[in-house]
Amino acid sequence: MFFFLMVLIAALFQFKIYAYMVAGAYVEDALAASNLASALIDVEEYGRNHNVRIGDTQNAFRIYRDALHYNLALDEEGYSAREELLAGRVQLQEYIVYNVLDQEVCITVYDGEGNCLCQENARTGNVRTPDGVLVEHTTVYSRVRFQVKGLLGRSIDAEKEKSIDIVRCESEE
Amino acid sequence: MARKREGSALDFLSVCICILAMSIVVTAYFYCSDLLLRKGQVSQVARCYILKMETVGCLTEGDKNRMLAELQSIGLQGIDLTGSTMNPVEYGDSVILHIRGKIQGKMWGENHDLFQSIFTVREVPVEEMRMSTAKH
Repeated sequence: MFFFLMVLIAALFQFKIYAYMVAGAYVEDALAASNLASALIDVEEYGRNHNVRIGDTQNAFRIYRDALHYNLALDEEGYSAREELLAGRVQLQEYIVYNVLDQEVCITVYDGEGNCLCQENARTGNVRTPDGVLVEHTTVYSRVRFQVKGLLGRSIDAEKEKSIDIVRCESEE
Repeated sequence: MARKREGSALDFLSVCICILAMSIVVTAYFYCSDLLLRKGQVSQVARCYILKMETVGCLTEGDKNRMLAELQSIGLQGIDLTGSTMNPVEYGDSVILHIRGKIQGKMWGENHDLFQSIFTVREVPVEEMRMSTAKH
């Protein structure tokens, strides 16, 4: 009987961990898709001198927020329809655009409400995103906070971050 | 000569019950894992095709047929793509991929009969929503 209980508890824990992994992958997937959705480059500039940069970062943030709401099935308040995966409110924490031009990186930081917190320039090779990715090309980074259902009905706070970079396809040249 | 050990049928019965219960737990675990795995495969397909839609600006007829074949091979049935972007859109406009369907999986049944309630085949609804912007 003791052995059976041990197996039952182990199976429950294993299944719960698997469910957390699924929830984590779901959020990370949505972050990547939303980051990509917001990565709208300035087509005129690209046409002129092949520079890949996000022209209107404020607009990029709006697109990101809309895409994130759709990809995570969030309502107006930020609660997901996928309650089995995301228990509480999903909060957008940070959204950063790294525009790389020649040897310079222009960093624009937004908070979860879309307020521009700062804008600064740095040399390429010295800049890393908060998740540790070296910025070599124009990059979008975002971070969200959410809750997952734990054991015995408790909610556990979790956080996910993701950065994606936009690389020019060399075969186009 | 070794003597036969004393015991009762109740000891043996409790072992049998434990083994039976453990088998049910392990089987349930594998069935649930299988469902999650197939759900993950559907997500993977959606991820792949939203990227294609980004580069083309819509879900083309060829991509749609290929995607349906892939989803069916995973076991998704009654596939509904209503709400997906089927006609080309301009650069920067939203492209949406909305997949609805059902996966057959063995779950705890709803019958009150114990022998019928364990692991009856049920259809589990699956929904995948992806939104991006056209970049063609």
